[in-house]
Amino acid sequence: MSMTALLAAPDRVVPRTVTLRVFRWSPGERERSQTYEVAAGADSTVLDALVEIQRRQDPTLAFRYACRVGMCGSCAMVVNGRERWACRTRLVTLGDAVDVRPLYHFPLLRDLVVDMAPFVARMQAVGAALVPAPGAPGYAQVPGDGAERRGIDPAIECIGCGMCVSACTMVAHNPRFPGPAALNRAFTLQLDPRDAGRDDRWRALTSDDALWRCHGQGNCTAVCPMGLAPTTSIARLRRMATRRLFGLA
Amino acid sequence: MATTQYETHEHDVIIIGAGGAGLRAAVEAAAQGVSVGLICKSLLGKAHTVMAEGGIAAAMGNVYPEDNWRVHFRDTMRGGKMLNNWRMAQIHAQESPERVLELERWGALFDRTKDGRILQRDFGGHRYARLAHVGDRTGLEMIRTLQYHAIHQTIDVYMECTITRLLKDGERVCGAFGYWRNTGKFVVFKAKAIVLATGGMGKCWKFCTNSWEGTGDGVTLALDAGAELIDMECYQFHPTGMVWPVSVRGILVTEGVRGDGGTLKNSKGERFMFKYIPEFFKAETADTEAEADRWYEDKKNNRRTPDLLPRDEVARAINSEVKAGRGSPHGGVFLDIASRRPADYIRKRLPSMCHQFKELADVDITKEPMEVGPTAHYMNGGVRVDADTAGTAVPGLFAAGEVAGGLHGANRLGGNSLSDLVVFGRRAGLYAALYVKNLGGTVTVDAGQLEACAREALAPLERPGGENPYAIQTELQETMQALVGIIRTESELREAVVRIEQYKQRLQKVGVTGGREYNPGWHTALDLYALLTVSEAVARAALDRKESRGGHTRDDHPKPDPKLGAVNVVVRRRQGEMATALEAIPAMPADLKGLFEEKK
Repeated sequence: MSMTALLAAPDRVVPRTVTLRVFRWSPGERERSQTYEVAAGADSTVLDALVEIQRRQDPTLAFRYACRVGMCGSCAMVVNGRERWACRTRLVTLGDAVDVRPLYHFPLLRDLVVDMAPFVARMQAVGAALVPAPGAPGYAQVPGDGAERRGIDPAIECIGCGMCVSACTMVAHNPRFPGPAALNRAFTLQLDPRDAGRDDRWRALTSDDALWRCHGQGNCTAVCPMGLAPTTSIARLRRMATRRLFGLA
Repeated sequence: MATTQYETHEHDVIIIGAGGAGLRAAVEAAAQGVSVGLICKSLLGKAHTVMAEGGIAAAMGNVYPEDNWRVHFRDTMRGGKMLNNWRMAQIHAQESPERVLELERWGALFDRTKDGRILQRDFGGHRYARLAHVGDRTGLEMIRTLQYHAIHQTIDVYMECTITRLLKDGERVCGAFGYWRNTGKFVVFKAKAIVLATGGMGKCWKFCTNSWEGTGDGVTLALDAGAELIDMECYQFHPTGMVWPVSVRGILVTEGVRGDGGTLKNSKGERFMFKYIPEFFKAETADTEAEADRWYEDKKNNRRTPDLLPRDEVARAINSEVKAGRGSPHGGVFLDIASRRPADYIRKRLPSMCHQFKELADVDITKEPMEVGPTAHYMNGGVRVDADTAGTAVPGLFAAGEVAGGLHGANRLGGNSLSDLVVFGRRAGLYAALYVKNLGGTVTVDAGQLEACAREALAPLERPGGENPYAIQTELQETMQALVGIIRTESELREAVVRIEQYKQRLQKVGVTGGREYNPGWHTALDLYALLTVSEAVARAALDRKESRGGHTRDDHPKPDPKLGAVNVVVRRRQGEMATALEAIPAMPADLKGLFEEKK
């Protein structure tokens, strides 16, 4: 099957040629950018183009993906200057020249692949697991439209893609800052009535390097592919922390 | 000692795979106080479990108090066309409610009934609404809960590490050999027990629902280590995958769409499923549209819609409609929920589906029907295990989740996979830890085995002018799609075996360039061995089952054969060659048998 046939839906517009400028780097080499041309149909995504390059033009091009469909958060990268998920970004939205580079603020491993271990470490640092209260019942009766649930719901869909960390200027400035994803996770737990680990988490959150460091620029919220608002979660955590400081919570 | 030549980690138990089963096994083993290493090919949290949508089956009886483990057991066995390991089906039905509640104790929050209890949804083959869920993103909630819980236990996590071989000390396992994906350097894990939780093999077909990880690694590791496989021929094709755009063809459309009121229609607008109700399910299936529609509201006085027959039945029906020229423009059929439910309801119940179709196909499923067709989805068979302990035929080797066979028989019911992961993941972790505690002495890793593993893995890099591994992968996927798909015949299966043999020869000559650091071409060259091994196992087992049952349909033997319904096709490696045998399924005890005679 031809490349064109692979990428284009059968009854859509004629494929056009898209030029991808891809960041390349391997340990011991100098970084460079390499240009590839790919035929793109109306529905082709950035991931389709990268897979096409890897399979037929350059099997050494390294990038991550797993689910192909926006569920796992593996294929985050910076496309035309902005963090995006490659699998859900259609080429037609990007113009004829597409610039692809790896996420910022993570150690680079090769080409578009970065080391995500710091992402897990940041989660651990704030205490990402719910701590069940001793003697708690098998499960809590939580009404679906209860206040806690309404508060948590918009924040629990994080797929751990790392785009918010890449977009956050404070992460670059202070390596001890937990970053938007971890703070957002902490927010869902600090509001969860079933959790008994709040005091420990507050200690981490109100340290010099956490909540108070956020400048509220909202870059994390702007790039989140799931539409979450870590900026809002952080702001609410700050209000809760302030009330707690004054003995109001 | 040769192990010093390679980076070496030592644990009591290593777990290969960090999806639902692997994470649950790791948590359980750690709780037993043994040292645990958790190894995964992807980043933590990206395993295929994250893509599970509809829910986790557990007879909690929150929506229908009549539900209990006996009904769930019976549904699972009937859905599996009685080929299941009945003891696994029993344990699964009995323990899944507790595993769901445990997930809540660790932070998961399932959707709720009006009075605040866990809500349960309808799915194919389940008599009562039984699937606990979080919208249509249940897998995400489950993996996130287990992952956050696990990283706060004493578990060493080794991310982006691929295991190529298990190591043996005499009869028993003693560790595993693999490579770091990012550096390409080799790594050795010394361990007294190993839990395989590596998932399935969807990537053998051209169109599948699986993430990139489904390359059959665990089945291959187990087979080569001396374990047995069962029911490999009963691979499940999910009836509803996306059929276009081409680049996402095969991606799952959750059964929850039908559970929540969606119906299948052909190009003439007919609800064709009424024509495909098999004798086996006639008594409990609605035979008019009116009754089917009433069933959604009143399940006591009406029979269930045929849109929710077990997956094998629905997949075959869609296949027949398309073949008869009544398919949709892109070669599927229509799945319509837009004309049957309000837009707000659809957005609330199926947010991922709305998003997925809007962004990828520009289809608004609250206004238009979807186009769907069968797609390779789930390995019903797998490594043969002991029902209670999840132990394989190899001492020290355990398997849980999709990689293990038996629970689902010839066809898995939707929702029974997530529950399988946590029920048997826990058991595998527990019994692996107990095995270690009872094991006297130490295990020794043999230097010669390590050298052989390293040589084998480096070979493609030493043939830079060799064939591109992607070419073989693509051809294999075409072959499996065309010859070992939903409908099979003897001549095509024989042709498939011949072609796979040729691909195995070509694999000896593949070459890659570009060094060892995160080199996808090299990774693919190494994955091919597993892809070819499991593909061959499916084709050979399919030749031996000369009947149609569950996920396995033979055009030349279209009916079930009661004699074959009493045996498993078992695959083993004998002196390097794959061998198959028909072996009797142990008889079911009288108390369980009795459950099939009662009306309820």
